Amino acid sequence: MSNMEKLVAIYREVLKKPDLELKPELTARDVDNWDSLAHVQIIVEVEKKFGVEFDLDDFLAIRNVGDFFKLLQRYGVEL
Amino acid sequence: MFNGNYPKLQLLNEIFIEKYPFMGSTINNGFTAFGKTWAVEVEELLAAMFATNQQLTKAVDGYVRFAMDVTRRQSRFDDACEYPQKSFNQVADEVYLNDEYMERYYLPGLLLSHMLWPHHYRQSRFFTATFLRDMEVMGAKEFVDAGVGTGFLSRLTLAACPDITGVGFDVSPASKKFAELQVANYKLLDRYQCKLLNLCTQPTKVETDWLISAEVLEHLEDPLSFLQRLRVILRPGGKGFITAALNAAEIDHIYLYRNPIEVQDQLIEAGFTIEQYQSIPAYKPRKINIPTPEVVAFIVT
Repeated sequence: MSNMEKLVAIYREVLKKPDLELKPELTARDVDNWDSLAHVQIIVEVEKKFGVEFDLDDFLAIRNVGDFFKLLQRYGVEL
Repeated sequence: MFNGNYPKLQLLNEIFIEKYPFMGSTINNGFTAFGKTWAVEVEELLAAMFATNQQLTKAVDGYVRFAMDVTRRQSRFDDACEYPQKSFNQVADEVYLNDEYMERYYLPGLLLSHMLWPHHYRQSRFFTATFLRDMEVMGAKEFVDAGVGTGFLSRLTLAACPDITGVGFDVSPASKKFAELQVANYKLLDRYQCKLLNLCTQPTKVETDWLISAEVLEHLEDPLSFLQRLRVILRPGGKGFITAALNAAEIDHIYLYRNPIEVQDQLIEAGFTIEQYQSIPAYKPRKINIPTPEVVAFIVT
């Protein structure tokens, strides 16, 4: 499974949207289950899966999925 | 939802939606759960504490950072079911005596959580409907708030009882300053004093018939000793409102209470009699065997 496939699986699992397409412009406004708890669950699951630990200020700056892609790359995760 | 009636609340909603979309449903959820009374209280609080748009935006930034830090710690707690080992002095250095952290994140975060976290808001309504109502009916003349935090309950008490005077204690200079600011912004400071004091280690001769101590026990290494001191401060025949957070993994929570009975047993061991209690979970349990954070409040004599 590629890193992108792992990431998609995490989003689908946490947001309970098995058909979710992970486009860079996607935001929490577009998905009804995407509240602060889900947001943190995504972050924590990604941290576990990819062995990284994000600075709190870094993940607060995420506005959409594209921002998260860039953040992951900054932390050394190839997508 | 707003109809031009709640400009500050509307701005708060817009900041959430624009800047923190994962918080975008917060205000709508509050309105749906608690209605106009809640909206009026939030509007008043925002107007009193964050008069300019810049102040409100800064407070929201602090709140979101505070809330997300709590949520991430809680998510890690789900695996370990233990708080990380810390001493009170470590937490004091990291949090209570760290003015920048307190002023930017902790105090605005905690203050807004009283209105925006349903379990915190429900607890303040319990306080108002029971303890504060008794104070009003009995014509309470003075109270002590042991661990003022943001000064939220001190302020509610002073506002509800026009003849009362109060004394608050806290270990944090930033808390003292913030509590005094809140009380002053509601024009109640002429009846209130806030003092820097660690009630666990520093002696005081203060006594009261009406004692408040909210969100303190879980911050201590030895909450039973603290409760024994509170028992001495509360005069015989007096009444106390004492709360604790359970299974809530926050940056400054040291003592892990896993259920309300553990708090109740310490209260009884310290010499209090339980008159009433209410326990409120932060949210619906998500999984079996993963504890849900909750707040528990006791009215004691």
